[in-house]
Amino acid sequence: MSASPFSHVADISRWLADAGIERLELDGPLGRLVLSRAGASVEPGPKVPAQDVPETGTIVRSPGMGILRLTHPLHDGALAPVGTKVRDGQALAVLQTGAILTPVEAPCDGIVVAVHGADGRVTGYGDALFALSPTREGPAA
Amino acid sequence: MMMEIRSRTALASVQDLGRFDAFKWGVGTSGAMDRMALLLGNVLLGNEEGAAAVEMQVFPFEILFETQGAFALTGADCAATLDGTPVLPWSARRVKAGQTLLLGQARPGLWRGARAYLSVSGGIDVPPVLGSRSTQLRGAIGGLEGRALRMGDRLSARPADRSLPFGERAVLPPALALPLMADGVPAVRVLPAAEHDRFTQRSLAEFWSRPYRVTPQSDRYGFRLSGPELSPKAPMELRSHGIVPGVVQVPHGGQPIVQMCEGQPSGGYPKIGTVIAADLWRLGQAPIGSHVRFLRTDWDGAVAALDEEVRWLEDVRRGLARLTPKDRP
Repeated sequence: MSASPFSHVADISRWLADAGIERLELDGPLGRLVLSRAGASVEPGPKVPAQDVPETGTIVRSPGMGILRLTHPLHDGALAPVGTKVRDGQALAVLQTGAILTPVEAPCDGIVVAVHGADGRVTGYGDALFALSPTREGPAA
Repeated sequence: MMMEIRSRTALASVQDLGRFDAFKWGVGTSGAMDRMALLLGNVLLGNEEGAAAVEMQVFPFEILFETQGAFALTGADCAATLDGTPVLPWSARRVKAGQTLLLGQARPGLWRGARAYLSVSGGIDVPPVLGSRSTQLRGAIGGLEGRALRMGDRLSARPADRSLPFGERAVLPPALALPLMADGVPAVRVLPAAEHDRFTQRSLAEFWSRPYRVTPQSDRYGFRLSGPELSPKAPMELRSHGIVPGVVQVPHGGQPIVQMCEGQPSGGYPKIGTVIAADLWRLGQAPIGSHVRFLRTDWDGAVAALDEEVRWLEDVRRGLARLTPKDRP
């Protein structure tokens, strides 16, 4: 228990205040540790998934952190709304960090059956964004 | 990497940032009409910023990649597909041997460009002429044999240190990241030129406040615009003198012509203004039939505009580097 971060909460809160960080969330084996510089408040507990996602089909997860854009900034419509047939490697959405857009790629050929990601919201690594129903496509015509 | 042009193309050519050391001999700059698109394609691929690319102006356009490699596609969003799979606009990605890249018509949308750029890892391999790989059609120098690309032409890439050092990423188009509009119309900043004050007050008021349309007689040599007539206070006869891309001339008839990157290095028409270097890419991407507004600026404003673009490109480079783990193979 000597390695528990709970025993260092006061120190960490002070470091946060010094660094000008408002809030720190740490996911680990002890659960989700939330520290804010407003006070040494700790919310341990089992890790709570960001969304309740039914495990139907292949889940496409966020490859990183950024603002989720279901529609490319140049386009009117979403890149991959429900029902879209997609190919392995096709961009279903992009994650925006500043001026950089990182594609969220389909891991296989399939059809988009659900969109779990929230457009315009900060998305974390591993968040479930899409559900695909995999298909066995032949080579492109 | 080797690729083959598979379209009966018109007006596609190899371009880099341009030829600047030969202007004193009357050799124009040539280079990409949208230098930001060229720069960003190279930044995405980790190329040197002036690596040569293919500029495409007429669509559809088709390219077969004979060998594997990586490419970036920037400029006008042409709903491009790679073996039928959509390619993100302003993105870099890997390509396998035998894949075909197909660009369609430029899509209407928040921003519609007129020219697309295909960059490859290492840059297009053609011999430099007078310090640049840009094609100059008038003098038939540079690029591939000094001419526009044709069906069946094969282009190779120079060797690259690393393929896709930042992974497959895309970037926000500069037209969205650095917007410039006036009353809902895309705008460019312009410095008053030598004969500016010799035009009537009414003409000047119109020039600085009314939109001008890009006519079909607009290309890499120059853009003929149509709009309110610009009249000199008194007829002017000038001897031919040196002019640069961006110069806005007013011939008899009062309809302005903007010199673009293949423009003649000398001319004798009165000059009302000069589009600043930082904004030439904006004009270069204005489709035929679209409108443009001229915004008056000064020396400091023109320099600040260049600085802003340099800073934004640095932000992009830093952003890419930050997203890439240092121990990436």
